[in-house]
Amino acid sequence: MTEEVMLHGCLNNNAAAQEALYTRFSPRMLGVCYRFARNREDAEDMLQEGFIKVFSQLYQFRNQGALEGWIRRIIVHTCINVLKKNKKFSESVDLIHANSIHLNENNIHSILQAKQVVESIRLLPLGYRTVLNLYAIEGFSHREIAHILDIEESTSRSQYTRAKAMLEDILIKKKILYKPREHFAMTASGANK
Amino acid sequence: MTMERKFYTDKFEDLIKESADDFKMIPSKKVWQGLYNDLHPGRKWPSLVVTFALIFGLLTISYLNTQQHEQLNTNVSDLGKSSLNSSNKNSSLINNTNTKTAAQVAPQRQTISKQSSTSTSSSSVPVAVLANTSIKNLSYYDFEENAETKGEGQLSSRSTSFNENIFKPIAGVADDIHKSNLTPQTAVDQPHVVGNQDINSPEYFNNRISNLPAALINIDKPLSQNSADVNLTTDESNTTKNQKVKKVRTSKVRWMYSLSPTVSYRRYTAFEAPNANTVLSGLTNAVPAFDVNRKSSQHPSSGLEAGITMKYPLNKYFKFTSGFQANYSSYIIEARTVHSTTANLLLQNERTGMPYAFSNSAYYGNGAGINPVNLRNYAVSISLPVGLEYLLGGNDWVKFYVAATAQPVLALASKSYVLSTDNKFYLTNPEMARHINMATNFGAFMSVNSKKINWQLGPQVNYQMLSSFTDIYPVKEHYVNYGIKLAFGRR
Repeated sequence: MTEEVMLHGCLNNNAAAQEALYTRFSPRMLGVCYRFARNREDAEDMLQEGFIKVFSQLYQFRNQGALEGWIRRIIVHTCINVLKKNKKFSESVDLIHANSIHLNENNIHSILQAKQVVESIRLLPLGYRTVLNLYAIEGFSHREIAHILDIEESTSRSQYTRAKAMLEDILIKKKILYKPREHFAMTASGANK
Repeated sequence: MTMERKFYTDKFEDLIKESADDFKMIPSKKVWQGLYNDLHPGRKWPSLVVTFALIFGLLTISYLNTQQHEQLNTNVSDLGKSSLNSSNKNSSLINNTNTKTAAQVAPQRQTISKQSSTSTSSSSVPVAVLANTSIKNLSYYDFEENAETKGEGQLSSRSTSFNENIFKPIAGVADDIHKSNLTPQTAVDQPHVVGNQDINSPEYFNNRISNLPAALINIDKPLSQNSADVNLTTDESNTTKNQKVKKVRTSKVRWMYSLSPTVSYRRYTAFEAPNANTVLSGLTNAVPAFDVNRKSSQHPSSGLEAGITMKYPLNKYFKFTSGFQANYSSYIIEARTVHSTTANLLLQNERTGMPYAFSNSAYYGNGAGINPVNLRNYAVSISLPVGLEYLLGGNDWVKFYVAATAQPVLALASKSYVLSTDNKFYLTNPEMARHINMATNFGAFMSVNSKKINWQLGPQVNYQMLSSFTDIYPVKEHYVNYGIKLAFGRR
């Protein structure tokens, strides 16, 4: 089913077209939700709520850009709204007072391939994770992030810096990432042999 | 990305983004099912599934708990039939001429007992000596009259002259005799007491047979002076002593199983709404004057009632009825999909009456919108109907009744789309649903009897007395169900 046929069917409330659209985009969108949610169940709740909004607002999509990008934006907004509605931020870490967070080394245990990076991201405290997701992955500006999360722009920048440092630390410990100095030392020792 | 690729930290953000974009997860099936139900609410069938499951449960329970009539062995007639021998050429069961009841025979007993000749068989079951009547060989049991070839313990050849006298067995007497171990000789010679009664005495005989069904006896021929006592064979006595007279009981209660497809309508009653503009702030839309025939398009839909009823006759015309019933009612609202928006519903505090606004997301509009959609309002409930039936008339096979019941109702599941305060959107609020209700049912039916089954068919109407909503919602909604009821049960 082409995207145009699918869109037309969804606008006519055709169940087959709706299922086709859902089947095509839901795996990637669930991955998006999974990065924001605390667990898989929460992620699926976000996904369902997000797709309800997608179908109800589909008439607003005017083919200006990719459909996936348009859906993804709705999903991301839904995730943020769910987190704000459920006050998940207060349960984990305050965006401002996150300096004393220490990672549990036991949580950084083996994860594989792309999932490893995502799981590493999920190890971050909720506030760090949200800002990092929105800026580094979803492409929001700090100004937009500040508006969405109802924080200052400077706070968004500082939180992203801290989140990035913490994630680097995790990935280095898992040897998914190497710092430039370490990498240079390794290659040099290899050349001398 | 593979494990072998090592990225410098200056490409950190690229690593994160690329990894995240590659990451996919397959959602569970329940996500799509929940999404589908939200997008297509009119196609849900869980209520019907629940209804059919309730019907099946009702039938199973009623089958296991069906009352069984106690029918026990009959009395005299069965004993008489079992002892009659088809090879008896001369036997006749009933002689209509010159017959007497057993009670009439009784006073003559003593004469015979004194005149009885000896009977030497000691192995046979002793019998009581019989009354002195014109009957030759009266016995408490039927006997064979082809006795010429019989030896001891059976009828003597003299019984051939007693060819028309069949005396129906008198229940209980043989048992007494058997217990007493009375022999024919002793029965003749000595009075014997059984249960403080001399079984050879006329009083005992009279007492025993006075209430029995009439034993038709031919008294044409006088009893021979030399009539012997009649001895029974052991087999006959064993047969009869095992047969007991028991009482036949039948229950008045009848159980009927019913099924009724219905058509459900919705009826609104008067609405009294406070003026939100003067009381509440924040609502942007004024509350219009309420019109009972609110501008919403709806049409009736199908429903179902199934149950089991107990009927107990009070007298010739009235029957008391009680039972258990499962109900499904629904109607359709024609709406149109709209983009998600916030709609308001004006409610009122049950205790104080103060109005307040309930806000919720609305996806369906009244009139304006994108695509047409049917919204199904439904209710699944169980009830306990109690009432009366009145017989109008009829014969043994066909009868006509009218019936009425009142039934407390417990709502198990329901969904109601209601019009928002500004009449523009449909939204739901589960907190408004009333769980306990009351209904009345009126109907007429024809009752037809087949060989084993009683069938009933007729129209009925069911009216929900209380509103589907609690008092927090000022609008009163009542379900009215019209249907045809089919019922069946054992006669």
